[in-house]
Amino acid sequence: MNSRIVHDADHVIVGGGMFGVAIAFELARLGRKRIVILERKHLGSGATSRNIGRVRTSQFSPELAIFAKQAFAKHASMADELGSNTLFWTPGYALVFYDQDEMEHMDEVCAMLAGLGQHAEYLKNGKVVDRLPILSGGEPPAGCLIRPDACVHHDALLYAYRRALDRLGVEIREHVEVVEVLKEDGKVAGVRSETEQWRAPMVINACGGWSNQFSAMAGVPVPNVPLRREVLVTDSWQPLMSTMITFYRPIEGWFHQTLRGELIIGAVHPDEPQGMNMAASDRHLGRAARHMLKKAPVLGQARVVRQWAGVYDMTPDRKPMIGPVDALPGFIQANGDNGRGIALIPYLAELLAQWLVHQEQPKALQGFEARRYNGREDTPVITGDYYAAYRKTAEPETDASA
Amino acid sequence: MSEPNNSAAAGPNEPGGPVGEAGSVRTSIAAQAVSAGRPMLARSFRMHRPRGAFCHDGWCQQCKVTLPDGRVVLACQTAGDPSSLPAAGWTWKRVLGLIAQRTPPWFYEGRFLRPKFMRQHYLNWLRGVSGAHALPQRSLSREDAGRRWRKVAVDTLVVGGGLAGLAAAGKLSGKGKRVALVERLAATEQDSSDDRMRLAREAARAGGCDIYDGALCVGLYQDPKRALCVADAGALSIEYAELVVATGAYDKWLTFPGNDLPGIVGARAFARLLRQRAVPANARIGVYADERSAAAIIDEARRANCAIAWLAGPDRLPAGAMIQVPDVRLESAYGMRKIRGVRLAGRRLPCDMLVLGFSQPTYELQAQAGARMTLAGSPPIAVPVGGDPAVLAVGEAAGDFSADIMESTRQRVDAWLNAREPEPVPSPADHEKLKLMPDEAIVCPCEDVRVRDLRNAVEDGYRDIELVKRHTGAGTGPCQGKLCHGAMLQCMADAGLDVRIPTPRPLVRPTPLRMFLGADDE
Repeated sequence: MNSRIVHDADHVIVGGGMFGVAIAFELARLGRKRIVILERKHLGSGATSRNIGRVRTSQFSPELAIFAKQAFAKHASMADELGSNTLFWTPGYALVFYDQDEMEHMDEVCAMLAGLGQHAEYLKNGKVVDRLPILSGGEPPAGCLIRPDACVHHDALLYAYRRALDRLGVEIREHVEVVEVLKEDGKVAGVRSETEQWRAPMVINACGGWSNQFSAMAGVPVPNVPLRREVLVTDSWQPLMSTMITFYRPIEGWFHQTLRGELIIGAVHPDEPQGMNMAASDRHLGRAARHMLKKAPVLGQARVVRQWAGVYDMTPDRKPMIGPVDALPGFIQANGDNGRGIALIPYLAELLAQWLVHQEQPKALQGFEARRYNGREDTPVITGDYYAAYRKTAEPETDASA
Repeated sequence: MSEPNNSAAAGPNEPGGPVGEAGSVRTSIAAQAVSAGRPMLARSFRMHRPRGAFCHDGWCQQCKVTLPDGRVVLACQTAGDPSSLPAAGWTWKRVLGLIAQRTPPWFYEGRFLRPKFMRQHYLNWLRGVSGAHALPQRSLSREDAGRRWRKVAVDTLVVGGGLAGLAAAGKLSGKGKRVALVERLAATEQDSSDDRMRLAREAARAGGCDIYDGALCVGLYQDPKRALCVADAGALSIEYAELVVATGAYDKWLTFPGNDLPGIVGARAFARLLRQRAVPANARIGVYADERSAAAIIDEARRANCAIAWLAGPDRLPAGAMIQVPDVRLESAYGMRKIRGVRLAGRRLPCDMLVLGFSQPTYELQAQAGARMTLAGSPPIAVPVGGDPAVLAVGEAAGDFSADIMESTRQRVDAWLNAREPEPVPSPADHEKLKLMPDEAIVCPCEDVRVRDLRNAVEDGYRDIELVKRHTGAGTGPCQGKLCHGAMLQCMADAGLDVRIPTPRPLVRPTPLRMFLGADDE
């Protein structure tokens, strides 16, 4: 082995994205020392700084709704926990529907949320445009569901974590690419790059869209697949909307205005092929123009400044992959965020750190255990309709054991 | 199917329409503002500093104005009367801007946390304090609704219809390959009095090259390779196997305190203003340029009967003005709402307009096609290295400023066709006098980021240009780095860090979303 420089550590976190810094922060807060984050490029270079920072609680199943509510509360307290402003902003979040069939489903969702004590504004027909005037002049919506959700600035949150990690003495190594997971006696013994080695009894896979590659490198395959999502951003304008908007099936798309005044717009291609692809496409421009301007024609005047793409780390049941794996003790999964990473990670990381430190799985992580796919690592991820797996009717995609 | 050469529907020089350069009587709002001696057109995004057009060509994005009818346009690209614009006087935002000048970008990140219940109010309030314009509350026009994406497939695409692009197209066409050329300016906006251009066009066309006028290439995409262009009629997608980039060079903006004052223009901008007869006869013109650009500026000014008050440069200078200050550093510019003069080696030289004569070859398309960007010369210039061998840059885009650009382009194309490496062009000049990057100079005028902010970011541990970009906002504004990339790279190099530009992304220029309507497949 030619990795000459050897370091010792207690926890090696592979992946310097949101999950990596968050788990490092939570571990350090629980008194753990000798934590090192290894990042292949620069901090946040994957999905973290390519996402749009929505913290959404509108979920369609009771488990996720309860979890999302907790995750939201965690986000709200992050500025105080980290000592920096994360630009946690609560403009609200509207799911807008154009199809009467969907409204029946929403009646059930509203009843479910009400049962959990979660309030949602539920508007129909003309009332939608009164509440969301940005949609005026567009296709008349059938209804919308609005929750007082938030958005954070992903970079502000990432850098706030970073400043806290500096204070806590966590080492962050950028531009280090891990090429092998070291094992001894069937357990994790560390990782190595081309030139260095880190000996550690615990390696945490926080690689986001690359988590399946890194798991495979460790010899513990996971069903996760990366899936591209594209975004475009316009130049800045004076505030013209606040509530963030998502169009729901059959065409998924979304837009909102950032604190800086830019409009962030995306339209999802239902047949987007799975796999690592971070290239922006001209098709997305055409698709965003067609579908967004049909619903909110005023956006047509905004000038597109740049477009980019990131990847979701998708799992078959749309639930995160958290915790130890049986095949390789010491190897910890912290991935599979299905595009809900920024929203869920601060809370997921807090729970996972408790699990790792106290050796007892927190109840709230039930259903998210990485080991739920033991022996079923080849479960296919069906990605056409993002929300299908959230719906009761979509049995083939719903993991019965979760 | 698309028709090459379907030029702009709306004629030039209609009020609110595009600007025609050639022999036009009506000029752009920005040119008229210069002509009236009031080059200030806008206020900047964060500090609300006075701004005017630097490029007079649509790329620097510093002259965005709201017209009386509510439309938001670039003053340099729109015909009209600047006196009809709302006056940009002292407002409460300007006072806030003075406070913002004392704070780093994103200053509220670490502050504005107490009292806790006020946090959301702070954020909501901060949203409204930027210098952004109001989005025009317009629905889509019938023209928008009727847009269609046009699609074409060619073997070789030439982007840019200047002398170099036309020479390349002429050389490439007539060999059994399908060649197309896209030119940003509409036929009516081009200078038809230039015989060389006319002959080169005829030659390219005779060889079978399709010429699309009024089509701006805004981005390159892969699998298959496509160039997306925007014309008045809508999007034009051109699939290609080989690409020739002939997009010329930008005026290079320099890094000195006061560099964002209205009235500071590039050499190409100056030539455009002279052609629009927008330079007032009594204006004192100061020029700070390298030797080659200075000669060109003197030549243009002479032809337009315009006197140059003083001529300075970091190097030797040709004779051309009463006051000549060679081999000198441009220390700073002063003025309030427009430039009043500069300081050179402790000496003050007054002027009403400052012409900067340096060049930055365009690089966006090459970078999007996979070239790595590095730093060269002083003033610092971003230059592409390597990349796709199926992409060739020619003319000023390749850093080739030779006098006979058509001949040297033909040689480059020849070498490329014969699968030899094209002749290397001389590397950009390295002026000792332009090495210094003063702390107070603005690097990124779109987001009001100063050299000091970049240095502080690096010191705070943001030791990667991607992090510096995200942490300070430099390079994220509407010009997409055209004004700042070189200086950003210099800051990174000064700090001993990796020198490369942030991930190059389409679009090359901000384009209204409605222009992309009418895609047929998804």
